[in-house]
Amino acid sequence: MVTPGIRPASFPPSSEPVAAIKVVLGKVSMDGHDRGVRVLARLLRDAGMEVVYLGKFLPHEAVIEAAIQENAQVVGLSFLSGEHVPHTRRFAGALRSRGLTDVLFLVGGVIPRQDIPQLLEAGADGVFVTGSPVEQVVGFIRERVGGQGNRTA
Amino acid sequence: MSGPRLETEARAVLSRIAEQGGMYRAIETGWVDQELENAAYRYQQEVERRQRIIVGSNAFIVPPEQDHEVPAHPRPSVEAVHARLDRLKRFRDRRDAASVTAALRRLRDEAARGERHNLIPCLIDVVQAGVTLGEAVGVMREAYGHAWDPAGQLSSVL
Repeated sequence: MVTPGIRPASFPPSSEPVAAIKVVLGKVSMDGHDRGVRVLARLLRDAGMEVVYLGKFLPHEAVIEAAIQENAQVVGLSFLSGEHVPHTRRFAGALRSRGLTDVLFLVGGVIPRQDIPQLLEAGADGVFVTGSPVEQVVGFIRERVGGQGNRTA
Repeated sequence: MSGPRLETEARAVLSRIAEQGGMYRAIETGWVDQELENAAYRYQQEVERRQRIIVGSNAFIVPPEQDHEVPAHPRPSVEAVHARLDRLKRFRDRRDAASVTAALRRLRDEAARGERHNLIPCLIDVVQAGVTLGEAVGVMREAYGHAWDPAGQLSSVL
């Protein structure tokens, strides 16, 4: 299932029309709880980003292929399976081997806080556990992806 | 919330489902999925705007100096996972391949008789022949028109 991103209806009139930050989100392997990631997809879209939610039970390769095809600046994986550390390590390795070193790789979901250092060491650029306010995610993406993307009021 | 209000709201939802042509149809068209997604979105917006207070999350947050780690449920080590997988592989290698295949074929035929057909007697035979849970469920998924492996990582053993 692919939910295409929708551009915000109104752009701030003063700013130059620059391309929206492109985000690809998905869930890999045997992990089907996607309430959180679907809400995040909509909230990021509200923040002016172009979001593609790829769906659940995906092989890593499907997410990476989509990131390449969509020319995504941000890739986010959502976890509730408890398998976030090994998947993050393998996914980060696959991103590097496909040359996607500039892509911001985010991990989120139901993740014990004590695992955050391990996830960062495994190759995640940022980790957002359940309950993280969306402004934190948006702020982090805007800061790391640079001055690209549009602000909506 | 008072009783009558809950009842009124529940009845309103039921009549909206009826308008969709009933629950089965509402699931098929994706209406239910969309409603759930909308509700989750509304909920999150209420939390973000602090119209809905979650103690410890958007109000009365524990200051870092008073915070403490809650131990996470222990997860098996990589070694333990591999040991379990090796055990499974040894179990599979010890089986009589011909009777396993025959049992799986029979399960597939039985499952193809429809979702209301009782598979329990067949499943008991199949397990006694040494079929694993993964194989049995994979065959049933295929018989019901789904992929052997929803994640697309493994292919059918039949």
